[in-house]
Amino acid sequence: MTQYRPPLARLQAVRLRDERVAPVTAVLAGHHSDREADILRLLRSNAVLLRDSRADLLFVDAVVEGQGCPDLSPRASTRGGCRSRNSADRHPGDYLVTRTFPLGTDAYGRDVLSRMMYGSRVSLSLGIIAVLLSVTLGVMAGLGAGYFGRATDAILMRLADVLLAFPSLFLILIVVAVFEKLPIPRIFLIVIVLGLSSWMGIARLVRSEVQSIREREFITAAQAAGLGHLRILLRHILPNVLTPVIVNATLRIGGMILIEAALSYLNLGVQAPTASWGNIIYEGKDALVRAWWISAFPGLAIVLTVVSFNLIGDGLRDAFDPMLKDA
Amino acid sequence: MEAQDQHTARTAVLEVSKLSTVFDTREGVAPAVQEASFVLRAGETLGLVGESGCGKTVTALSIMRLIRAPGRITGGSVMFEGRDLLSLPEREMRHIRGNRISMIFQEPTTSLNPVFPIGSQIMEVYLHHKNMHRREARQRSADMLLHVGLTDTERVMRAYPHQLSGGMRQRVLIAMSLACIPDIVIADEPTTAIDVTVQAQILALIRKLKSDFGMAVLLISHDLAIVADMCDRVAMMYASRIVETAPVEALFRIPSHPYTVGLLHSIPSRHAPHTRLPLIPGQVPRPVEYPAGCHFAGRCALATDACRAAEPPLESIADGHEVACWHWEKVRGKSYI
Repeated sequence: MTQYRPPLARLQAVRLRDERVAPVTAVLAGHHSDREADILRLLRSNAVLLRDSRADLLFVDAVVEGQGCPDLSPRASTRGGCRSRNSADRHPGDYLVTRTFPLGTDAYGRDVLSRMMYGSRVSLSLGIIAVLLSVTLGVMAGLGAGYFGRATDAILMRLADVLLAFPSLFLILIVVAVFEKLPIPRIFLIVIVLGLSSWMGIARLVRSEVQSIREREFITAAQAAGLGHLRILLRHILPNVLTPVIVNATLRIGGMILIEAALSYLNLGVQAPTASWGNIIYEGKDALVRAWWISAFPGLAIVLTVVSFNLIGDGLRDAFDPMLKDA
Repeated sequence: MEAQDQHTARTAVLEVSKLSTVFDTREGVAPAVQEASFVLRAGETLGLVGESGCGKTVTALSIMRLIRAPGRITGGSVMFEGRDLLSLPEREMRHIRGNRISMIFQEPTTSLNPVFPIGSQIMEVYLHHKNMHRREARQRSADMLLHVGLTDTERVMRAYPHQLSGGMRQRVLIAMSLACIPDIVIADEPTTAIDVTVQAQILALIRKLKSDFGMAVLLISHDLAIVADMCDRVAMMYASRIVETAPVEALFRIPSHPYTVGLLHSIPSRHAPHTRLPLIPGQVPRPVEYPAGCHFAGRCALATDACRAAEPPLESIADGHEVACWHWEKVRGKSYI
């Protein structure tokens, strides 16, 4: 494998110059041609430009504009650790676990802990946004199908049946492959496809709830009071079906995170250098034997997160269920 | 009879004629209401009486046009202020529901939305029909709660349905149905789900509000005692048809349909305790199997071939007294009491 030095990692090294002059000088001295050195000098003289390129690099920074991670994480997620010397030579010493990098570094010398922290933003927000999208669609479809019945019901539910027949992971793979050329970040594509391909379960749940609520007398009472369909749906039926939806949505977040991880592992998910738990695992798979921590810790994070969301979902179910309250 | 003249003299606010509603079932078309005709006059209370499943509630829901699939209204007309409610556009019908004609339901427990406080549910009626501001709607709702005898209005407004007793919930429902001071209130067995002591209070309340606001009441019940107590006139229903309508005194003194007679005979009397009550033999036929002629023929001691061949029309036999029976003269002879 040829030595690969991603250019931006070098820019990071330049930024380090202000903080630690000596090691960076060593790095620069060892690796750069004259032309690169010129570029670096130019960048060095223009700190703003440097910061901008960093912001572009950190997709999550641009999207979420979160402030927590830069303060919390020991290192920038895509920044090479100075001790790893940017090398990808793959001899054991390159993957470090030290006090500075408690979860080790990856092939580019980047701190795995920092990348996991940044990756958590991607994985969690992707999971939550995809679930919100699918819940919104599912609730609308379920309300319509359950309340109006007949043709509306038949059309929406047959559509749901058809969509359920697709294996969703393959659907996503195909969509990502087909629409890859579009000028939108792949992560948006994934969120949209995940949302569009997972509303059917919620729709069925909501539909069955609506069908039972619809027969309750207070709905007839609301109709007898002269309220219109929309008002009855949104004000009288929706609040009564929300409980199982909230529980179900919470349980689904874990599944979404898993699908994202699976996609990223197939290198069809969130694209490097943006970190997501899935693609950190993907990047670590080549060095699994020598540097198990690269894949292991993000994997552990996924497991813990999915379990947590499931436990929250179960907890919510118990909290909302009046029958279990006394038990 | 002076009382009867009074009843007929009042103007009709609701004229139901030949109203028919059916339900499509797997076994075929089940008629729930067949050619029901009656008149509700201004300021009167009309009792719609019959046993479970005879079509009382379906009649009420048909008037409000709240019949849902698999049910459908197949014919007839419901005239209200010179317009046929059955052919009004849905938009206008919504303006009538709750505003001009309102309903009180049987189950106060399930007729209130469990997830909203009482106040917002009453206010909703004002906000929807009267375009009021929230503040005014709130004030009017509190006033209406006072009217129905709930004095601690602030607490009731904030309470959720499960925090109130059955009687209080029924009062709330009555307050909701009267919110817009409707011309007609349809009370569908308003006291069935309530215990007897509270039942008397609720009935007294309905009577008081009726005289306060001067609306007409269609009281649906299977309880002859309530009907005798509350109503000016009574319409008897049996197996989807109205078999007898009469002023309340006439119905109890000179019932003229065998079914009415049978019902009245099966009330335990304190004058003859410990005696076996006479029964009406047989069972109500299932709706998909209604016989061709009189629906009561199979259980009637007077039934003849004529009864089984053709359905008797509702004919007037005295002032305000109509009966659907070929043999009403014989029945009238065996008068009750």
